[in-house]
Amino acid sequence: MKKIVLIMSVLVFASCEKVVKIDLKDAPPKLVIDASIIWQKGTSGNQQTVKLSTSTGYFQSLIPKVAGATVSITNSVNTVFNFIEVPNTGNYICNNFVPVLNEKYTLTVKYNNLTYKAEEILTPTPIINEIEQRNDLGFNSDAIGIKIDFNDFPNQNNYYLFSFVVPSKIFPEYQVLDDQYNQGSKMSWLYADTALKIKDKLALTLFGISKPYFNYMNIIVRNTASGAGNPFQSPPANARGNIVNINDPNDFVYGYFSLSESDRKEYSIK
Amino acid sequence: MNMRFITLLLFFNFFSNYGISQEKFTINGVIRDIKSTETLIGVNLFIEEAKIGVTTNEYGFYSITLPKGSYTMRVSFVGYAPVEEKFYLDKNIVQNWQLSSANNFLTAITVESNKKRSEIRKPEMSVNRLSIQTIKQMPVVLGEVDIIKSILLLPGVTNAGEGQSGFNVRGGGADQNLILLDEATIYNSSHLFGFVSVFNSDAIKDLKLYKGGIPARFGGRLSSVLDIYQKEGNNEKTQFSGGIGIVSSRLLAEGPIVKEKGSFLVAGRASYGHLFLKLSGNKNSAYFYDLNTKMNYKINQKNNLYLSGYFGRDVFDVNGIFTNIYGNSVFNLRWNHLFSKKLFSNLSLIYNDYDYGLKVGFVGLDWKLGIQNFNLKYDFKHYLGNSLKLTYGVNTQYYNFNPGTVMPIDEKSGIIARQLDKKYAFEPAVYFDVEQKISANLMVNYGLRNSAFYRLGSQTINLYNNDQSVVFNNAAKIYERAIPVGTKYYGKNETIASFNNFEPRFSFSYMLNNNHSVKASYNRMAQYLHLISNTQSPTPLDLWTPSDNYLKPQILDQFAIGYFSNFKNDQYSVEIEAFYKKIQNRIDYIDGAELIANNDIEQVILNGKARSYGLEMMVRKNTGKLTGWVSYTLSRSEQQIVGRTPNETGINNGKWYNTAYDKLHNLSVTGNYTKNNKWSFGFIFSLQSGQPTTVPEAKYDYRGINVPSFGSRNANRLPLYHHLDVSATYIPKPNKIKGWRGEWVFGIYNLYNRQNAASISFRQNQKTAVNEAVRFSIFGIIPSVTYNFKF
Repeated sequence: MKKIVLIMSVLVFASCEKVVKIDLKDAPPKLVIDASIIWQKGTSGNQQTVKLSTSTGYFQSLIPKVAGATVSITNSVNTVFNFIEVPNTGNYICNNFVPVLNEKYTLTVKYNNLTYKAEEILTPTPIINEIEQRNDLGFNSDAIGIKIDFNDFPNQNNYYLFSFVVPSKIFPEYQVLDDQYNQGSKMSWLYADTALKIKDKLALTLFGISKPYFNYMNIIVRNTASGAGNPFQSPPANARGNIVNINDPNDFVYGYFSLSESDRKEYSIK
Repeated sequence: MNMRFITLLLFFNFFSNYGISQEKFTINGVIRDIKSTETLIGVNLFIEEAKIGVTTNEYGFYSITLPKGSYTMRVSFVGYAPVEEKFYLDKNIVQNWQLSSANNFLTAITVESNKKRSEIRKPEMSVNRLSIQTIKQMPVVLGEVDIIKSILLLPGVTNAGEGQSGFNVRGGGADQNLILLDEATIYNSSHLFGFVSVFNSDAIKDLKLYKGGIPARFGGRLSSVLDIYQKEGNNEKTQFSGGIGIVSSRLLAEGPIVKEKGSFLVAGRASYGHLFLKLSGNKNSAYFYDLNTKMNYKINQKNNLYLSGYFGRDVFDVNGIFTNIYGNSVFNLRWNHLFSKKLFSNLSLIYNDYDYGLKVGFVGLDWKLGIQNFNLKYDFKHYLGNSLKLTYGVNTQYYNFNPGTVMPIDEKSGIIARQLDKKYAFEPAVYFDVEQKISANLMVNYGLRNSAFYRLGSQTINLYNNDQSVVFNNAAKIYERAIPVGTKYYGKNETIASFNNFEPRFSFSYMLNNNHSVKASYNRMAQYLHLISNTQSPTPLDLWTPSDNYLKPQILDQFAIGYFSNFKNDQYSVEIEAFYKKIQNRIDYIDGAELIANNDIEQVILNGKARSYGLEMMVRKNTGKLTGWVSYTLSRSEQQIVGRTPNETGINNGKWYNTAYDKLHNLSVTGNYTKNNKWSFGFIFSLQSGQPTTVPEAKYDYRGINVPSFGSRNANRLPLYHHLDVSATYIPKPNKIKGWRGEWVFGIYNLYNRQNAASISFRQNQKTAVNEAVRFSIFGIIPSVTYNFKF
């Protein structure tokens, strides 16, 4: 539904936007834990990465990396998977992770004498059934896009995350959806981009996610989607993740500990 | 519950009849425009010898009671030549007046005797009246005369920005305005998402905006009453008028049904901007149309019937991807009856309906929502004596809310049909209002409204632990939707929740001398409906929802004081007012709240407080070739949501934050210069603090994207907002009084092409991945031309 309001606002405002210079006050840096465990269907899922960095001013170009932290994930039978730092990258890598669907995992990060913890369940994902190319999208029916179909898991509330990687953008685009209108039925999603042309390759990935993570990503998507902050949008709110500073409960870190099975497909525009 | 009231009213009645010892007689009647035969609202009648002044009511009616004797009556009204007549009163007299309009055509030509001086005598304050002539002379975007845009030039009134719907009065929400068209509530006041208002100015006779000191006969909204009356139609001859503009065209027909007994009026308006889109091969369309109709019939001297209707629709069609149709329908039957020369009554039966429909092709969704409202009103105006006027009545409303019907668009769609819980409510109220002259200098107005609200079944209501429909996740420090612990079914018309509020209203005016007065007022208001909207200004998707155990009624207390003055022989007038408002149970939403298609809206709502305060100033030049006003408002509008326990953060850590419509400074200058009877010119300059906005204070890298982290809510502002608009009106043959008469209106909106920011958004550039700030602006310089005609 938000999408519709967005489309309307784009319709109204499309021609009158301009990049302007604005002075912003910068908040002190905070720890960012990007612990997104992804088990692509058909792979072992043994290799996983956790990324640590700090926040910085909105218009700063460099993202400061975090070195010297200890990162591990434990499963429900206390098997510990250690993540080893790759120097100067902020990446902490584990090569022997064992993914199990619906298993509960605990993340522990120790940094600067503080301990951060989070718990989450590895969420299953349905397979993408079909990708259909459409050449009649957008306001003038000339935009190219794809329609993706998959089957919702029946008899439970499910939440999904899509990522799209297209040539016109150098970073991925995320979208979230739930099954409230389609419980147990066929789910469709339409992705259109006026910049798409013939022979372009696009990659899309479907992730099953938990309800709290859906809420979190919903805010992230809202805050990062193009057109965010227009007058038809709700006031921006900050997403607060599931990672807790156990030494100081009032403190918080950016990022989330999420675990998803994923189905990734590539498609070439014909 | 209301027995006490009725007793009180009877007492008043008795009291008023009692103290009469001297022989007294009543002069009463109806005042009309001589040409259009429209009844005139708010005409001043002044009895020189007794120093008594009255004004006509919403139906043009007046009544004055005086001891036997000879008197001089002075009748005056904005835009009309004054009338003076001597009469001898030794029996009851019915005296109807017909005033000649001072203007030649659609435009008012100011005449020296036509005084718009400030009403300094009456205890009424915080009220602005705009004549339709004044509104029509203002320069406007795309030449569309717009009632809602014109009231934004008054002190204390702002909106969310250019092209935005709704308006904000004294720091109140856009949902807190009671907008009445011929006494029927209008739920959505804008076409095309706010570019044009739903009111066709051709069919409008009069409007009055109450910002404070709201009389007891109004209730149900906190911040203001915008009381709009439609024309009745000419009861002597059939005539047509209309206009051709860039965006839309209008045509109005009016005439007698039975000569001098009844008349009709039909006014239609339609936009055709979408036709140009079609011609240019664009498959999208966006258009609106509306129809105003009115009929009245005078049964005899004592009985009048009025039938009015409004029907308007907006249609959006984006290439069949989504189609969106919405609008209001209003039907209204009124019966005016004179019980006696002193007792005027009006019975209204009103039905209205707001309907919203949306079809989204690519997800196969067909979505509908709406609100239906049945309203019965019985109002009495009792002219007890020259120093006492009593207004009392009852008002009952029944509501039927449909928050959403979800349907699959066709058999291929995966959407599962679903009906969100329909909601029903009943809102009765009784009131009385007394206007009393205590001494030659002191007038008071006091009243009381007793309103009640019953949320009715049938509906299944969620139950929560400790009645908390929102829970606080202490670990993550966020508010979350509570999971119901059970449900309770209420049968048809069974009471789910009920509320009862006494709303006292009080104001007084004290004349310092003939040209200066001070006034003060207090009013308490209760509002039982909430507009569920999380955007800066309302959108057509926003849904009204009734109060219940989780959403408490909003309650307002407002205090205002003012100084009013006319000087230089009434050439100028000054109005200065200060106000303070506080509101209980103003709602806000938990972060990431999903409002649309949410069947359990109570799970995303937090109850809080709001307050606003400010100073309003208005200086007007009433006479001469150049007329107009300067209005300036300094004000603050804030909201606060504190945690329910010390652990909870509330919103913005429980600190006061600016509402989205807080405007610290608001200046507007409006002028009209009449060169001769062919040419007149208008201008508007408007300057406001930028709208509050929330900006990022940091960014971080998460899953390969730059995520902004926002600072305190509404702590920053958009750049200063200002624009200058000009217009010129040309009447080729001003002296023509018969046949085809035309008028050209040329306008330029935003003369110096200021790119005002409607918003500033923050995003990551798709090519470079570098963060940037993007300003959206809506209107640059926009010239327009409109041709109006009459025959």
